[in-house]
Amino acid sequence: MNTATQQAQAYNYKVVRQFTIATLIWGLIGMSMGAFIAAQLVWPELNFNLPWTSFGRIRPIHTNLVIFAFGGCALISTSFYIVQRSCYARLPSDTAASLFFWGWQAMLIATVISYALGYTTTKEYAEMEWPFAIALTVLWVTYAWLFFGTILQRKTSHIYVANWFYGAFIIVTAMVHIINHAAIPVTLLKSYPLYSGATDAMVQWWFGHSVVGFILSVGFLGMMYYFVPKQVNRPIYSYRLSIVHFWAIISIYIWAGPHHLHYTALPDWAQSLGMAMSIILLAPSWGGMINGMMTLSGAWHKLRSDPILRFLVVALAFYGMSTFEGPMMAIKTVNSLSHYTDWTIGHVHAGALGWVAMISFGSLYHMIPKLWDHAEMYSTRLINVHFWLATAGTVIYIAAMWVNGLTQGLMWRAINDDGTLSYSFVEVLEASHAGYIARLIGGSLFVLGMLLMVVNTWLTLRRPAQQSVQQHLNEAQTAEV
Amino acid sequence: MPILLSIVLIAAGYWSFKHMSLLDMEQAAMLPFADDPEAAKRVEQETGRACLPEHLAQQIALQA
Repeated sequence: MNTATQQAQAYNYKVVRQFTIATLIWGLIGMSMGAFIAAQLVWPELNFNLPWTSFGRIRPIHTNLVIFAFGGCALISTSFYIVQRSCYARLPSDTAASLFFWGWQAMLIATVISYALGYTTTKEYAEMEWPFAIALTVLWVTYAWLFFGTILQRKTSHIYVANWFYGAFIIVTAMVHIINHAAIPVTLLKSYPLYSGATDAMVQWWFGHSVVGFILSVGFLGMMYYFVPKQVNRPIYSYRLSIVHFWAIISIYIWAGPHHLHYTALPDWAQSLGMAMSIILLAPSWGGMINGMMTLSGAWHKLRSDPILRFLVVALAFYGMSTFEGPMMAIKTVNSLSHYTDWTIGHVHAGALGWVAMISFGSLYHMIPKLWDHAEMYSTRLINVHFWLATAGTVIYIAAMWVNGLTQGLMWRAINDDGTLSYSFVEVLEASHAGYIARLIGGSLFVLGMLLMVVNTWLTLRRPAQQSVQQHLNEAQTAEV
Repeated sequence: MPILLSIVLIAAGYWSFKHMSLLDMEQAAMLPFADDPEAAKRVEQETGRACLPEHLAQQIALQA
């Protein structure tokens, strides 16, 4: 029996495989939804004059699918893989793991249907109504038990740093989800938030930025700390720096939310505090990025032949870029130009496509052959094509949104000598049209890359596993003798 | 409350360092390779860094 088969028996790989497949399926659906709403902004006729196909309803379906379905499943699959392998312990319960998987999928499907039907709290990334929010809480507690239960049963003295990042992601997500969803239900699918006015806005963006910080950054950094060293065959550049990185990033990220509410009814001191903490955040973010990049010291040549490593390194480059751009956009004077424009959309997608999706692709390409006992993916050439489609798609997308954002910001603030506005809203919209077409092209390239990944995975899984190939060889040799 | 939380987090970071020597950190950084003998061999060939104690733990874990 080879080591991979021994591991498959010693660890619960079934749930990891299930979440991996779910990641790919949800990724394809969620990203296709994104491309569709990008097309709606180019051709508004695609709203079809139907409420459930309108931009306003599909947009939260897109964001929820890519964050909680694609991103969520990617984080859950990799966290279960890493925690078992780095602790030499199996998840505490196979039944609970299975229930958690099916529960998570059911919850995702139910929320998506509810958004299409128009049931929403209207809070960004927290649109789910109270029954779904409670279901998510129960599922998350199960996840926390499975993850921390494995750590408690570990056979190593030390808890590897990737698990610290995943642990923080699990705890803080639970905290902000529960506090932001505190509401008074009035019917089965309608509730009102417990908070009101500026307080409600502050709680919402404390949650909103913590989703960015603890799901889309800290969680995926856990992925980075395991898969970059594994793929490059080098230990992490500085373990000391990874510890500083962990404590610094979790101490600071939670404070950055108010930068979403500059020039609003939020007290000015809170806005300034959010701005200051956002700028400080640059230090730990870049500390982590540099730690990941420097892991390639002495091994940069591997980038020439390894497209999986390219995914991981380009993800780190986009992480560095978007975590520089974010603090800059949090500065109030910059924000007065960028806020409410497409620049914000470009910034979000530099992180979502360039960092979150790319680090997930690299990690899954590394993990899939190991999970199904194959030496490698079916086609390295397809991985390479995927890499270039994803990179080109991301660059076209964010460049289009930067141009649009600056155009919109400058046109909105332009005034005539008599103090009236120089441009009407429709004129600004017309000026944005070319950017929307470019964004659709970039986004479509990215979806095409995702489709290639699904095909490559399907072709990989169709091949017989190494173990069964070895068995056939042994049987053939025995027959010859 | 947030200030108190920040002090707790800084103290936790300090505690992490105080309880880990440089040698411990070197060994901890090798954990991703410790349950993968082939990867561990490649790392040792390329960098000269080994993770033998964790290999033993892995064997025990797999046999259990």
